Amino acid sequence: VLAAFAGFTLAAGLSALYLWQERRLKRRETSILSRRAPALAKLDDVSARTIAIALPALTLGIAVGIVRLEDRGGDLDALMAVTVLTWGVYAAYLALRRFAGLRGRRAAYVILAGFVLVVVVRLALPVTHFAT
Amino acid sequence: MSVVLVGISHHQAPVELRERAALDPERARELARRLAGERGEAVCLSTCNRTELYLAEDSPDEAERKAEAALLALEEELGPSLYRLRDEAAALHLFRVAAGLDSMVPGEGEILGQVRGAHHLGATGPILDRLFRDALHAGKKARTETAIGESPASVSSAAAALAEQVFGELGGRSVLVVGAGEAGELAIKSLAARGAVIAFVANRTPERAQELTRRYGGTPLSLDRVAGNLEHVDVVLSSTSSPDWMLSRAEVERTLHARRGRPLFLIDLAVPRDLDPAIHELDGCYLYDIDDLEAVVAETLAGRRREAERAESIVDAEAERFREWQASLDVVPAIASLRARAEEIRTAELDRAKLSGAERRAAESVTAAVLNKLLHLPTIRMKQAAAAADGVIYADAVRHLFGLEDER
Repeated sequence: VLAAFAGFTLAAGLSALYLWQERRLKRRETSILSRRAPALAKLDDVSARTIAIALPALTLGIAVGIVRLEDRGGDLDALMAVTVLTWGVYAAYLALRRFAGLRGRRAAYVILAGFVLVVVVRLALPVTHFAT
Repeated sequence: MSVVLVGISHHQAPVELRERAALDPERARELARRLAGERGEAVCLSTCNRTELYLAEDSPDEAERKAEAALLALEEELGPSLYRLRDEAAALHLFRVAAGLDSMVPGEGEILGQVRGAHHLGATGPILDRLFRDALHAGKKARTETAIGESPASVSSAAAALAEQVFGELGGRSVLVVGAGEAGELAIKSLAARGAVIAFVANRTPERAQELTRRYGGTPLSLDRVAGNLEHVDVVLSSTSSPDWMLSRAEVERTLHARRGRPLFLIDLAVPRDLDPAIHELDGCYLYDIDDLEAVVAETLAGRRREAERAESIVDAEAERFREWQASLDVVPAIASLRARAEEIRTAELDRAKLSGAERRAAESVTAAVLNKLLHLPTIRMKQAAAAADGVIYADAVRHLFGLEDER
């Protein structure tokens, strides 16, 4: 789970950089060639790959979590639900990218939305799982 | 030996004069041979922005006269625009030229190759050889340690560099060219040089389109098929003289779905413009017209000028090193004759001593060590004094103290 979160953080950073660079291109900022950022296509590509690697790690983490929960006889708690939702966002991102050509600015927004959920889970994790 | 430079450049001479003083490689080589003569050295540096003659001779005044006469023989009217520089100033000038600091576009890269070519064609000896090698070194150093030559300095290279900001490497990216004018061709060249593939060339007259596809590849198209082929390309380059839009926002919008989110970069070099400015508002479409590109170029040129200041200090330091080396040449003959004199005395005394083989060998090594130790410090001090510009005084003092005058 930790590895997956690291991947999502990286992807979010790349997406933020994407949005910044895309905005500079749209605004035709004259400094675009004197202060260079990585190319849009490269940022888009690398963040998709990062998620393609991070998602299976999260899948595994969730599976282990569910098994443990069942062992303990607990129910699906709120945190688990948010984690599954996060998984859903990233899975949808990859599927849409693959089959519907989700690229560019919108893709970057989806990744950032997923990252908000990641942050929520990270902040809630110690409170619910370790403090009790 | 002094270095003398006489030349003209774009600073003082208009192109009508420069073109008459330009030398092709064969004539540059010939002139260098002739100016160098028996004992001198000469190099002709001739580019579209300058013709400069570098000479190294014992008599700088005479060298300067020779070089002036050679340039005036090419074009009489050059007289008032000639500049004349010597030694340090000539070296600094050449170093600045090699670094691209004296060019019209600061930091342009071509000049370094031209300086190297002139060096090869020149009639060089120890001085000009060292001068030109140092100049190439200074030029490279200025480029690697500052960003002076990095950013694009023309509209066409800026267009290609912007496309790279969208796509990364342009290798394999395909280009649709609309209009086959000259401005467009420069941009085609800089895109193709970065690996982009020219997929289609659309033009009003099919002959000209075919001519371009022969040279850069691709398929010729008629203008009405431009919009239909949009979905297959990554870059659109337009430079027609048509008063109407070549592509409207609606035409581009229709292809967006088929593009599946791939970005589209559009370059409009035409005045009046060819591409509907509203295309820029579409998701994933980036449209730059000639004004946008020129604004980017102006910014990068300003960046180059800032870098030029840093490059100047690098070049200054390199010129100072050349000056020190050249100055040390003043004391080299004095050092050599001092050492020769010492060696002469040593062998004469050893001969007089009439020693046996083993004794002679031992005495030889001891006396050689004594001489080396004794002469080491004066040698170093003389070279240092030469670098600080009073080498001649020291050299004369050494000649006087050791009685070396007759050997000069």
